[in-house]
Amino acid sequence: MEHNPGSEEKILQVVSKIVERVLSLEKDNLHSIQPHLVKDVLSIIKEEAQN
Amino acid sequence: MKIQRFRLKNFRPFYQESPWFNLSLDKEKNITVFHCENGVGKTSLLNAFTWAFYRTLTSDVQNTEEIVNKRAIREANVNDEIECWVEILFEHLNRKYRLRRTLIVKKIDDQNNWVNEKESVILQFVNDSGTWEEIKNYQDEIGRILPEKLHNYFFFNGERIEWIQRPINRKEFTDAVTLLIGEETYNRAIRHLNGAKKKLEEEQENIGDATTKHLYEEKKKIEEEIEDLEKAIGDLDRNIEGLQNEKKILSEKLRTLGGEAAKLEERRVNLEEQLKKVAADLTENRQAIISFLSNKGYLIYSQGAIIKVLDSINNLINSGQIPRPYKASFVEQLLNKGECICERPLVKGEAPYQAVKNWLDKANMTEYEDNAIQIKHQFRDVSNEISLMYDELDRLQEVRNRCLSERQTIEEELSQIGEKLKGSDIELARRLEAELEENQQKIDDYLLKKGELTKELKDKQNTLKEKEREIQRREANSEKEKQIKYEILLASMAIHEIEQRREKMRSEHRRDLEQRIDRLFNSISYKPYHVRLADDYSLSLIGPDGVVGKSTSESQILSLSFIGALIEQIREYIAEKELVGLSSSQYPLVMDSPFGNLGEAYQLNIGELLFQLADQIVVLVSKSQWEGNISKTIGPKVGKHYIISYYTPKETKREVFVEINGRSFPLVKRYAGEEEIIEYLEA
Repeated sequence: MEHNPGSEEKILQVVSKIVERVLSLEKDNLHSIQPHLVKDVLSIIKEEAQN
Repeated sequence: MKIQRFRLKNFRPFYQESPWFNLSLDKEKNITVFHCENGVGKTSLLNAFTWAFYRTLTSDVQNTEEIVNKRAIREANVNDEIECWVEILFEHLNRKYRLRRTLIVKKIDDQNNWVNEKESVILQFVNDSGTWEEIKNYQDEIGRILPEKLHNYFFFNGERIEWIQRPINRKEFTDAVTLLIGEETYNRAIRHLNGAKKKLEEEQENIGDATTKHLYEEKKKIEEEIEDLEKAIGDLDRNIEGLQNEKKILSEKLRTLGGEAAKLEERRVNLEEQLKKVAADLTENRQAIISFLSNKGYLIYSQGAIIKVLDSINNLINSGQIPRPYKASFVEQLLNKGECICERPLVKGEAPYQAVKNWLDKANMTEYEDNAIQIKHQFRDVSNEISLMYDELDRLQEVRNRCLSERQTIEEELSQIGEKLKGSDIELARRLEAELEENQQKIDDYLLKKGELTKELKDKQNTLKEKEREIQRREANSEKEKQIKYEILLASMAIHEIEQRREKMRSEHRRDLEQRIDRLFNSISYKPYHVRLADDYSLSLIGPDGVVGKSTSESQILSLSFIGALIEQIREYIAEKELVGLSSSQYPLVMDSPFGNLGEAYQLNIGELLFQLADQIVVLVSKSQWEGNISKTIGPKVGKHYIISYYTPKETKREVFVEINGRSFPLVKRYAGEEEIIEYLEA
């Protein structure tokens, strides 16, 4: 599949960053009754994809 | 969390307001014992906690609708409101809490019928200025202190502790584990990443060409079908659960009929339990065969090649070709010395020298000879292993045959019982049996349907994945679409990564829990068994000859060990790592009949184990459960004794007294009144 410039290693690094940031976000919001975190997670993906 | 005291008003058998029950907070004597005869209110005391904290009652409670005391309703006038509540004062992380759950019912006629009027919960804490402040979202706060999903392991009935090992509760437990190991964080991350991925897919759909749009339409259709299937499977599960509950009620009715019908039903219940055990053994056996074959199965296929190689090596040995009678160093020595062993001179360039030198080439085969001989030895070992493998397979197959034959015998007897009940002289027994048969038929049909739908669901899930791949394989028609496709790829990879981490965490947790259960089980049981915890959290005992059937005592010990191991984990995992925000290592344990029906041999060890389980222990016991070994074992650790005395107007009722610290207290006492009375005493 096509993707932005960058080696496989680079993609793995980006994925790893996304995973860490999303998990940290979830941990901080674990006790919210109905957290609307989809928007925040989407921003993380878009931000990291640009880097 | 430490419970300081609690009191009740009109809660189930407890008429009017009780005094405060102060639980022992002494570190050395951390046990509080409530003495109460069976049928008087022991289980209701346990349920006072579960109802106040979580609005639930334990599964062994009948008439769950009847929360408010019947006498209080009877004595009220029509249209009067009757109040019932449970109030608990507890401490958590140096903060004092007060919890009160209240239910108000209204009496609607003179037949003592009532309707629920109002239910409320107040949770307060003492703030820095020393005054009580209300917590608006009490459920969240309680969930942080002790999550509802885990409460069954802290408030339980020892006599029915085997419930932990039933499949439906294992599912509940799996849910609870998500909390315990912090899996909830991962689940939420996956859910939100999926949500973000969906939004990115919508973006791609909006800017993509007609084919992309069409593919997304197809994808949505598959997703809807998956959703429908999941819903249908959920409905089936609920129906099956309802039918199983109905089956229990019908069975109970048959047993209360007495006579032959009751005996037959009793036997059937017993046989059905045995059938479950055999089914579990068969599953275990099947897994053992699969695991054995995946480790050793290659031996069967390599057997032909091994025999050929061994034959070739043996031929070489028998024909004297290996091992060579001389070594390269010996030939080299002769050539250097210039003289053969027959004393003929060896001169370079002459025929005798060349002939001896040719031996050198053959002598250099040593490495191959060594290998051949080594292979021969190794293959001989493999041959032995093949023979042992067949022995082990025979043994596993023998266990399988034994289980199958046992299953057949049980099924035949079950069928005979069914026939006998259908032909019973008692009309009610015949009718109940017909209902039971119909009920079972429905359960079987639903299970079959569930199997079909589950397969269909798996197929659809695979089709969905394929559709996603098809969409992503397409060329992007703009830079923007290219970027979105990249973001979708990142989201998918992140989901996959988190799923893998979650799986790793689950298996580590299972292994750790298994080791803890095994250690605790072996500290109580004197039998040389090991505990195995399967992927679905089912527990089995492994003896020297494989899986062993669990006796009632072993099941109880196993369940207690399970709870002990779980509490240990909670204290270590949660308290130290603060994975789910539970940041205290202090928990109470409230146990109704904690020693179940265990034999005396086990009671002493269980008593020892109890001390290690929790920081605060509340034990609810009858006279027979208290006297003997139990009072000797846990007696020195008891900080408080309460006696729930039951005064009965029935003249025929036998009086019961319990001895505590050398004094006798009434548990059941006759008196010349009209109403039954409960009195609360402190020893």
